[in-house]
Amino acid sequence: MTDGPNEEWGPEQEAAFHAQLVAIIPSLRSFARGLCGGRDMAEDLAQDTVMRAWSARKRFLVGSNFRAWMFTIMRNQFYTSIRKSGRSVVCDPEMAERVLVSEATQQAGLHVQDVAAALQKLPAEQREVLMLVGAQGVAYEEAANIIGCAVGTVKSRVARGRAALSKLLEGDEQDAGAVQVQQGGRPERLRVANC
Amino acid sequence: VSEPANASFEQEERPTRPEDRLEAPRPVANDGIPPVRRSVVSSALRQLHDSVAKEPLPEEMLRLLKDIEDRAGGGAR
Repeated sequence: MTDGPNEEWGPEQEAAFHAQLVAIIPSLRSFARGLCGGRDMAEDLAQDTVMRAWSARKRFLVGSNFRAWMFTIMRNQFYTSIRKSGRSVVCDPEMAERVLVSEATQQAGLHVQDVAAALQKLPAEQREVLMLVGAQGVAYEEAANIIGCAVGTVKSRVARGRAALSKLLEGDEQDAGAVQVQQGGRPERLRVANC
Repeated sequence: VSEPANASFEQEERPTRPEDRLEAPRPVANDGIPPVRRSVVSSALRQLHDSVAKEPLPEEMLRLLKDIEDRAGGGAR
């Protein structure tokens, strides 16, 4: 993103931006679902991100990484809304069970719903890297750019997230080391990774 | 200052024979997940992404995109 409005912005840039915006929506919704867990909240986040991106389109540097720009907007919006509302970043397990409405597909004995539910038991910092790197194939460097941390931090979060998710999918929550306990409806604390 | 007990550690003879080197432990991934399991988790995450991405867009999003399309089209005219 540039600091100020792009003076060279014209109808061609507008049309190109619109095309990119439409094309990236599936990825945005997927990332939002990973962050929020709940379907409604994720759809709200995706729409909010699209609106914000459109409003700020003239600050987008043409030729730069559009996907990273969009994911950054979404991520910032997500954490801002969490801070403002004081809500937990980890949804309740029942909500996680309702994450997907599509029919389950099976891969080596794993249901997609199981993966979605297990994912929501991880800290947000691990969920976001797993959704970026693991689910969407974003490179470590690009993920680090989106999150604003070192590449090594992304790698370690992916490794820890994968290990915890694997444990959870095996039904070993005690050993997952990332399951957060909700206490009396109070906001759950984010696990802070070593940066 | 007295010399540490293991001061001569670096002078110890290291294995140089090929058969000794072959017995050296292989590098292990730092997440401790067996490769097959890691592959299953990665595949499951990709399926999760695909499932969400294929869900039909909600009405609100469709309206928003239509509105943006109209504005983009208006700007292009």
